[in-house]
Amino acid sequence: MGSQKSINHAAAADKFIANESRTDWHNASVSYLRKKRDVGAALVPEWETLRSLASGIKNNVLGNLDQYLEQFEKNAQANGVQVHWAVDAESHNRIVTSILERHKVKLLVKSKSMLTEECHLNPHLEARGIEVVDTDLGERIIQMRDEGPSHIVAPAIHIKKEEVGELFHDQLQSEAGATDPQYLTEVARQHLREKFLNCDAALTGVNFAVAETGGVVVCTNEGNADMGAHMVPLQIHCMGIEKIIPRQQDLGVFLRLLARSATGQPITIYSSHHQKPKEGGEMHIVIVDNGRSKHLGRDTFRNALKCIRCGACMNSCPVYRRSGGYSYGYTVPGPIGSILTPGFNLEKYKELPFASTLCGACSAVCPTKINIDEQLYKWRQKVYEEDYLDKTKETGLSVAGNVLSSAKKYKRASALMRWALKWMPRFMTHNRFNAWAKKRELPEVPGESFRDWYRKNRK
Amino acid sequence: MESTDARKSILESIRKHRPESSDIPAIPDFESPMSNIVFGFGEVAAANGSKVVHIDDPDQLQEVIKANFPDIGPVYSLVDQIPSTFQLREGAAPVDHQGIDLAILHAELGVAENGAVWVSTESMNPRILPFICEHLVVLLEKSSIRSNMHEAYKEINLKNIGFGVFIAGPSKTADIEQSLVIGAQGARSHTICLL
Repeated sequence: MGSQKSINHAAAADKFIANESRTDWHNASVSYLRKKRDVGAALVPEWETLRSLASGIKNNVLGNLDQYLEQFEKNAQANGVQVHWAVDAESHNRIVTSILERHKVKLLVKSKSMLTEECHLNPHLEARGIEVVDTDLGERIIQMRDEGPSHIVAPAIHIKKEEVGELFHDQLQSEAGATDPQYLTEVARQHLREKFLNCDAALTGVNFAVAETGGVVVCTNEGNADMGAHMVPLQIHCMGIEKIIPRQQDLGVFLRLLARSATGQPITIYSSHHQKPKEGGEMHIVIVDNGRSKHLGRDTFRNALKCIRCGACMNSCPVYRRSGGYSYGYTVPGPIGSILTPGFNLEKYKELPFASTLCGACSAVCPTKINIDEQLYKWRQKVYEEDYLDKTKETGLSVAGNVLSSAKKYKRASALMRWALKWMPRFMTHNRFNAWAKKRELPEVPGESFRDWYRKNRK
Repeated sequence: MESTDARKSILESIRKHRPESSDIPAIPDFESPMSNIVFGFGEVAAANGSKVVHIDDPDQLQEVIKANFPDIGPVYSLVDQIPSTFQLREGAAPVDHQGIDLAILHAELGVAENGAVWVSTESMNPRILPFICEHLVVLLEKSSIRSNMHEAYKEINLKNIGFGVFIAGPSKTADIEQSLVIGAQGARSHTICLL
């Protein structure tokens, strides 16, 4: 730890916002998802009850995770499923590789899985001569562009249709200059159908793993996970340990929340329940820790493991919407990424808890009621305690702390500020030492303080 | 052996770090906001992009297919009233089902709140069928419609099946600039015949 370079969110966001109309477009696209979520949630009278239930079920899971995992394994094995355990990303990749090599797999089709992104499975397999094709349309687009996802539900939300048209023209020989999403989707359908018909194995992520039944549930709109998993004898499902839910009936709660929180749909088009291998086939489930069990021990932060990856927090976040997924430097961006990553590597991700206005919009929509904004605030304190705080932030904050802790000092300082902001030349406020003033203007300064105004106007 | 050691160390690490256990909440029954769940199911299914057709008798299926798919190619049917015209070789693999224009199968349940139907290996083989076909028709009895997912799961026993899926409409995507496109990787259309 500590050897990797820190993520500089502000610098990365700077690049993203250099094109203002594109930033506005991104903001509007992501906001649209949030608006649809609000409409979908409002149609369910018991919405808030469902959120409380989901949160309660997940609390129970965190307290009994070991037992549920053992129960899940036992039931899955009884179903004829082969269960594997991986402590970290490398061991996950080794396990998947050995299954694929045993079956002499040349072409693997993969549906969306943030876990395999987290583990960097694709480059690992490609280095061993196994072709990997991501089959979710958005994932395929970014794979062809040699990029990672910028959003966990809509991985290509940052890309314009003109760019998709060019990409498909270059790599799939579609018509030059095509921009019609219908046409471009059809091109991808034909391209991917050929991959499905010729693949040797399929790998999917997991939305929920049910301890009681030993099965996994995978949700997609395109049907790509199913086109792979049912096409060939060998199917592999990779999951983090926190994907466990106790009972079949709990699926009712989570499936009602997931798609509505993500896109406002009442449910994804396909909610597939994989229980047993197909006749003559093999079904493998790989259970991955990769830092999660350690995170479970952090009282203040363990709730982040309740995340069901709906993306509602990033859709609601004014910082994510205007800085883009890549500025976070991690597979899971946005508010949830900013509270997960410091647990993996505080020094590397120390900036992310500050990539927030602490407005709380994320916590207000989270379907499992994770206290994201509180955790962001608490991670900031951790960054300070561990002495990773950026020096300019530290100086400013310690002055602010001193002034704000004394009413007298505050009164004097605010009078001075009103005077200064009125008469100071612009370069004093707008300079390279004040990141806040980038792209922002100061409000006009009132002649009197609120305290004076209140005293005068109180009847 | 790597996996066995990993299992031990993951479970140990969880035991060391897990918080105190809390009770698992009981899931109550929720009343449907719909006054008529059959009507409501139809409305939501249509909003999802499904076509809903009402029939009084399974024999009317023939007419429905003729009217809605006049130029249809090879048909694969798991419903008595409609004959299959898709030719399959002995011991066919899932991949051999490529080329089915229309698949027709029984849906075991419908869910009013989200317009989804449940099909499982109890009534469907092979598993690839509802995904690989160009168009899908399901036959659903009105009496099999439940108000919400909680009620639907009460009727399902996952332990008894190999695979089961809620299908809520035609395959779709909005991955290019949020534009909704029907017919991504799976069936291009989804017709529900309500009996």
